[in-house]
Amino acid sequence: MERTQVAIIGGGPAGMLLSHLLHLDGIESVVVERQTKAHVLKRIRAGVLEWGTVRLLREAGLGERMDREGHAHDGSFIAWEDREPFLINTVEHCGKPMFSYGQTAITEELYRIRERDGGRIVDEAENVRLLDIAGDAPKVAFEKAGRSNTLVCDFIAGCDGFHGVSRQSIPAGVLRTFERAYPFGWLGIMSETPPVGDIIYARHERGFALASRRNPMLSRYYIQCDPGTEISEWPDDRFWEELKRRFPTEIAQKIVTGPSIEKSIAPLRSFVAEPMRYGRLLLAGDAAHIVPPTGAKGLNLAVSDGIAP
Amino acid sequence: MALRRVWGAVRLSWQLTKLLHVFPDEDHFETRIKLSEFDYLQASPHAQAALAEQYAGLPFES
Repeated sequence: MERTQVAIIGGGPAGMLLSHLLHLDGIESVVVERQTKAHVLKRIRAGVLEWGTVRLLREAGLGERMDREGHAHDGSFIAWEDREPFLINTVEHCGKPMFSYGQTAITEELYRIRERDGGRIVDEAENVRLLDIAGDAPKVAFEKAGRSNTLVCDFIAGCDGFHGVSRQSIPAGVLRTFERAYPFGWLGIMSETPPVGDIIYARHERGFALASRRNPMLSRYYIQCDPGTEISEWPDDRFWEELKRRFPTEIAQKIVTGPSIEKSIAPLRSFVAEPMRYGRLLLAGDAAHIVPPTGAKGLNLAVSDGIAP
Repeated sequence: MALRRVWGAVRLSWQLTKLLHVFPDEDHFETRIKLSEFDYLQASPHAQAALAEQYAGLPFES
């Protein structure tokens, strides 16, 4: 039996940021993660931050590496076959730039800072259960290396993603969910090539494509794909050829191709669970809601969830 | 109140996803409607401002 103020289930960006923000407020927490830390840090996800997210991360002391490696820009372009593309200009219309910086780097920084500050993070936690969430002394039970552990806490933060146990611990009579699945996925690659200058969304009769970036020598590209497609069907050459076909010629000519260092297929889904709070359990990030990556909103919601409770 | 920002982002993501992807059951009518939406966005500063406001992110709420 171990006592803490907040038990955080999930060591992704939502859980780790919450743990850090609580620490800044003098509140103690323990993070319980099912996977290894190495596995969590291997995930490649979001890459576009809202200005509110950038400001929050800076105020929380996470700005140094972000400002060194990230890149502020005026918004994203939408291209449509041979029509003239336009810029969704967030600086002109809202006075707020968008910011390219990878979720993987944010998570790495959060682990570094939590470890530096003596934060307690339990990885490879198995069989995680939430107990007594409607009462005053909720508990999180789990096994680590064959030994049973129980955390007694004041609050539980469910930051364990869409497939996590936290949301499923809310009684079925209370939980309402709203969902839309899409009949396609995104095939994405990461390549150590200079990105095209801008973030560009392209609609084409062959399907959607997106040009994005992580840093000056790291490009991220996506194409809409059939949900049933296999990565093995997409050698790099085929990917680059298909990608270029979907952008207007002037943009396609700027795409620098090279070997992929990562290639993955992600399904697209919209999902919201209500309420986000039940008893002493609060949900944050993908545990509470999923958005398709098109609006670059998933990580930005996970960050604002961290201040909402 | 966090749910208001959540639903705002869910709606924007859904709207952009619908606009920019080719759906398997998309007919010519729908394709033209989407093209018209692009043309409107491309030509209208007001439409661009509304999109930019949502893309930049709705306020953080506590």
